[in-house]
Amino acid sequence: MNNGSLAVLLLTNRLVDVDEKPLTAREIWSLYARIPQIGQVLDCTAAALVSEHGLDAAEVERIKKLCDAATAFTFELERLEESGIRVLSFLDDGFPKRVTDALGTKSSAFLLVAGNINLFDKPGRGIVGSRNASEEIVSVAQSAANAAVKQGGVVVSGLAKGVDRVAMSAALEVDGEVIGVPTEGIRRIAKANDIRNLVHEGRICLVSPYAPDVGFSVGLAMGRNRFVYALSESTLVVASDLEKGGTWAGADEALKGDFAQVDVWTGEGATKGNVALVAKGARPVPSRDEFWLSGFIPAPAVFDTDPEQLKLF
Amino acid sequence: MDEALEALRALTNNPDAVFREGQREAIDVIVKDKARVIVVQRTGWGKSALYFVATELLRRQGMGPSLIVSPLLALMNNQIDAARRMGLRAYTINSANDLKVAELVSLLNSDEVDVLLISPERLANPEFMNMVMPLVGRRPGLIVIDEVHCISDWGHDFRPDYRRIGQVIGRLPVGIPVLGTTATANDKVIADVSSQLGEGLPVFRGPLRREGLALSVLDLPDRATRLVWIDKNLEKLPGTGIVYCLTQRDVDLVAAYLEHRGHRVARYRSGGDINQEEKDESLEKLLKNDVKAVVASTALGMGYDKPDVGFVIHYQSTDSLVGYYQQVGRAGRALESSIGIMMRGEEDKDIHNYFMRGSFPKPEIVDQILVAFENANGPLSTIAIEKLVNLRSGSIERALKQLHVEGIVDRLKPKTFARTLKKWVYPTDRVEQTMASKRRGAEEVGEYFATTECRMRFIVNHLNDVDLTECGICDNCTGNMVNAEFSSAEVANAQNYLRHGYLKIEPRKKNWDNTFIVATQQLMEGKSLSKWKDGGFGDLVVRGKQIDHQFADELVDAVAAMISDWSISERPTWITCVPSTKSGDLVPHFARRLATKIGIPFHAAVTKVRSTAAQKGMENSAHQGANVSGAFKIVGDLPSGPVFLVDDLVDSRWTLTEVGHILRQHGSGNVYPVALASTQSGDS
Repeated sequence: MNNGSLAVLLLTNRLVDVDEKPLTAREIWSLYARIPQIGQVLDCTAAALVSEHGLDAAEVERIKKLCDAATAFTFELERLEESGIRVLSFLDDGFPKRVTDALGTKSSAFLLVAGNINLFDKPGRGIVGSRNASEEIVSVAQSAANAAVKQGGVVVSGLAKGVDRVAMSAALEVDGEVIGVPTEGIRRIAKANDIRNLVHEGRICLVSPYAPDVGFSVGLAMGRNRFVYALSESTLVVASDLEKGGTWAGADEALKGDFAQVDVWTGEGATKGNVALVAKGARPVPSRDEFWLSGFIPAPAVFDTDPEQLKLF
Repeated sequence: MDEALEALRALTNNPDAVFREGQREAIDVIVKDKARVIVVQRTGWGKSALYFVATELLRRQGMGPSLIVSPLLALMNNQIDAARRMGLRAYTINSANDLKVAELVSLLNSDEVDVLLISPERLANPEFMNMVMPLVGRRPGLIVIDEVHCISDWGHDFRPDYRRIGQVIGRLPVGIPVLGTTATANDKVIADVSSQLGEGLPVFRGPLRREGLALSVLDLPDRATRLVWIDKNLEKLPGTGIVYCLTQRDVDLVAAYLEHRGHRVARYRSGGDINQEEKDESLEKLLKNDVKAVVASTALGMGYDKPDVGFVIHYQSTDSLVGYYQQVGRAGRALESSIGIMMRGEEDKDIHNYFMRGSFPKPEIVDQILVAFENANGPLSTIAIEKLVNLRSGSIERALKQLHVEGIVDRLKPKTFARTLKKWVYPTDRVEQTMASKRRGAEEVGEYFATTECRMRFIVNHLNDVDLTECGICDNCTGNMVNAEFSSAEVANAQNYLRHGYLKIEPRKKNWDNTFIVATQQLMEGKSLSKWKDGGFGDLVVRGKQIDHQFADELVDAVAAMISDWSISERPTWITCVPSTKSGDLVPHFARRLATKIGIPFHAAVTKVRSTAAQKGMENSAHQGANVSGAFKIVGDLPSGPVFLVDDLVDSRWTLTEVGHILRQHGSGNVYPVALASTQSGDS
């Protein structure tokens, strides 16, 4: 890890309690814009940060106080890494670049990651939908997951009950892999042996913008939606309520922010919410054939003679 | 006068105190540059003065408390006292003191802690890491890593839990001063340590030779002969000292023998069957010179700081030369002259190999435990694991400890673990490298025995010291080899003693399912004649079982003698034995001969109702207990009096417990177990 990365993590520290409020995402991106060599907040004196980098004194005091906790923070970082959880700032090599590309300054400056990070190199196919899905919708989610895996992609799932889990299981059933963005902390969800064993087997990679032990809350569930979209080349909304619920909010946010391509199921069983999302700019997918034909996840093998196409991933 | 010297004089309460060579330079690096430094100095050089003075100066600058990580629990209280004498507010938190986390938190919150001493294990303690560490580390302060060679896998006593510290330090930003200290490190270790802590950091080295320490060696393969040597020479040695042994069993043996021969000795070792009070008392007695010697295992570890240890004798050879230097280096710190003698026995190699093999759990053991976690939808207690896997509870605990260090399991409570998200890969390379390094260490000790050059020079040369002058006082320099002549009668006496090391068989009070056994159905305390392969009767038992398929008459006589020496309030009126299908008539045949010898009747009162798997294949209580539970029944009517229950080997005691249980249920008197040999583990 370089100094810049350590600085980002210290300034946005959500791992160790410090007597100072950590920078919000907006604040850290603003600071980064002013000091691209952000490691200098560790190396420079407070006076130099004011005089040479034009920060105001109060801001510098807060920054220095956050950086002072380096010892405590580094021990905690090491402890997490020793137990298989990596804490990556956007300046680290392993950080999924897609996320910052898609979200820009709406992204968290750091992510906790556990499991097979090579999955970030595969084209991601988000599959989202409500918790209480009809049988028809469940089957659509399964087909979509199946098709994504068969085309060389990885399914991105929010790991919640309902459509999220259906998509996950369907991908695993055909020997596929999953990137999971849970609604709770990464260590908390891995208490269950199903998820934990899959992490060990390298078939799932957990990604989280939250502290490792936080419990479920609606706020956190909403906040993690954008990462599902950002980690995917395209995301399929299989079923959304109309103008309410997490699925709607997530899709609406992704469309407004233009994070990545949003597809929506408009075939049999499509909900009113789905139809409304088309009006908001989502690409309609009326039939299961399109999971295979539309080319949102072309299998890399098919294009191995055409380097230009490969750049897409 | 400058601030540092002033602080030293104030802290030591000595207006004439001056810095020793190297101390001042190291303090400047820490206090002025807030940088990192490694100090290699022999023990007793004054490392603590160094970090206490540095702490005082850094605290004046408004920096946070100093965190001292030290593996030397025995030393911590000394250090705390020393720091407090110097007016520093020093605290430690460990299992043996009563400072509560909450108190420490409140002290830290009001910035009333100057120095916090912890063991490396503390850094893996969730309560400490969640509550204390955030407060200690919320602003920069000095970090001291005592015995810093422990972070290097090249070091002879590499501690995996230290590796994490090296990694943390390697990542810390500038401005956090770090001091690594060690008394034992060669160039390879130092290079490894500094590459972990940060390239290019300064290393201050002092001379490692210990003046006035006269070294010699003594090759005496037989245990009895070595006992005789110590017995005859102990009182001639100067002052008081330490006798080091390799195993807990040898500590007990040597201590008991010397006591039996009228010497004032105490023992110090680890193990569940010695309490902290005895250990503290042993150290205290040595400190006050109330005993001639403390017989100790390597548990009397680094940093025991007594300035006037007159001699250090090794009853068995160490597994590395660096380890030897460290142990013998306890002699004569403040004496004009002292003595270090290393003996070598025929058993040493086996013991070293045993420890080497046990230093890392086998893949098949680890795999079984991890499968248990895979199938468990949540944390597991050690008791739950014992039920799930057929492994010794000791093996399970060792494997869990290692897995915890490797980050594969989290310790939630002292005996409850959760599987982490880290993928498990057996560290084959690291294990092999460690093994190779240990083998090399043993070879070096062999070379030390063989050398004809100055022994002190041989050692410090091995530690890459530049000062290679001869000591002039070792056996090679003087040509005076240690006298090792004794009569055959003296040796025979010691051998006889070795053969009479009866062992207690403690009655089990609980069933394997953790329920209590009714008091009237428990065994009485029993006796075992020997330990399996102990060099005495234990070897005859091995022969009887594996070669002759019959136990020698000598064993009958010996057990009869043991019984006649036994002070039981009631005399058992009959003998029975544990039946076995595997060994045929071996045990009954022995029991019948014993009965004839001591003149009470033998009754084959117990038989097997179902065949059991060999008990030695059952590795822990849950499996052993379940294996023999309900496997025996009583035939015919029992005599009513108290009874000797004979078996050849005793290990888990479950078979004896089960048979004793049904004997009592069917109306026998008290049951006194008798075994030929104990194979109970603990150590080799």
